[in-house]
Amino acid sequence: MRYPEASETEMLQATWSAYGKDRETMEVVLTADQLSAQARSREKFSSLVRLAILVFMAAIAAGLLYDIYRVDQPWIRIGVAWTLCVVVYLFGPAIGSQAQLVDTGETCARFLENEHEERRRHYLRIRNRLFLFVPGILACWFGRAAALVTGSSAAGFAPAWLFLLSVVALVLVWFAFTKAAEKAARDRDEIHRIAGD
Amino acid sequence: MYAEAISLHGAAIRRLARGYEADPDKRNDLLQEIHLELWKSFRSFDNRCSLRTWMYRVAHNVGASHVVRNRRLSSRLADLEDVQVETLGAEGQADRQLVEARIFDLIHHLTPLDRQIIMLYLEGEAAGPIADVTGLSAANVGTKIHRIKRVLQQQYSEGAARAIS
Repeated sequence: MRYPEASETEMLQATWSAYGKDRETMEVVLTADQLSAQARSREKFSSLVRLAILVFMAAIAAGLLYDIYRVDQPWIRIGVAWTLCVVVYLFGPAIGSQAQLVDTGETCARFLENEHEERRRHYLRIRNRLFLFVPGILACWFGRAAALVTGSSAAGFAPAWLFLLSVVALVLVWFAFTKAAEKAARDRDEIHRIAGD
Repeated sequence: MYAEAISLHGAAIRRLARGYEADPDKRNDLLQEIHLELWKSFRSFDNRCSLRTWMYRVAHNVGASHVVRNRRLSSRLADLEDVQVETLGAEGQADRQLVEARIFDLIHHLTPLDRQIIMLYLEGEAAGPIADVTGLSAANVGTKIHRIKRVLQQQYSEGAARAIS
């Protein structure tokens, strides 16, 4: 098929319009009952995902609880208990909450701006709470030092490099979330700039 | 209302889904997600814009969200102003399938907002209605449409030249 040069744009639009009309296999015509069933099925899947996360978090919490019970050094106990509380505080509400409803009826520029802003806030929320792990790490560190001095059995609880590693990991994660938030802010500002032109 | 929108614009939604997702399986999922969101969205439809505008907004927003979610794993998307026209395949006629493939290939390299504008333009929408859907100013949309025309003509010319040779 050769298109006449005079109406290139119209022919491109015609080519575009032809797509989708001759593809019966892609036809998606859903009844209200089917859509309702689909919505319920998605909700069920989302519940299962939340349950899986809950089980995973419970396993971590059980491990931390066992350490609290096993270790006899009080500072290490306090550190681990603190870490357990922080894990529950950070991830507990997220497990129980439902997915947020997004207003898809907004204009596309506003919608994208909101999405990027929501992403930025989410990253910053996590990043700003990471410091809550620091007291737990410090308490464990202090407890290990105290155990070394007294010659208690807790000295074998964790090697020094593990504490250093957790601090380095915390700093790296902090930077990663900062970068991700900055990227989301740039994307948001870019949309804002285009929409504002 | 959902049934009315689908009977009028069902084909446009299929084209839109193809513009946001190249993989057929993922595209079918996206299509279902668009239908589901459309169905849910009509509860809050308040007649402040036309049914057509509302439908396009919801469908494009779901598509754009899909692109934003998957972009982290793929290559960087280009602005329409920076897009490089690439040739597809080695030899071939400027037939409908080739032109269609070239158009969708171009669209898949664009940022979500530029995709929306180019797809709405190809649907035959004017700058005003496109501005209503996207939230950009009509002047901004007009400028982008001008660029789209040039890029599409370039796409067409290359395909036609190959067919002649």
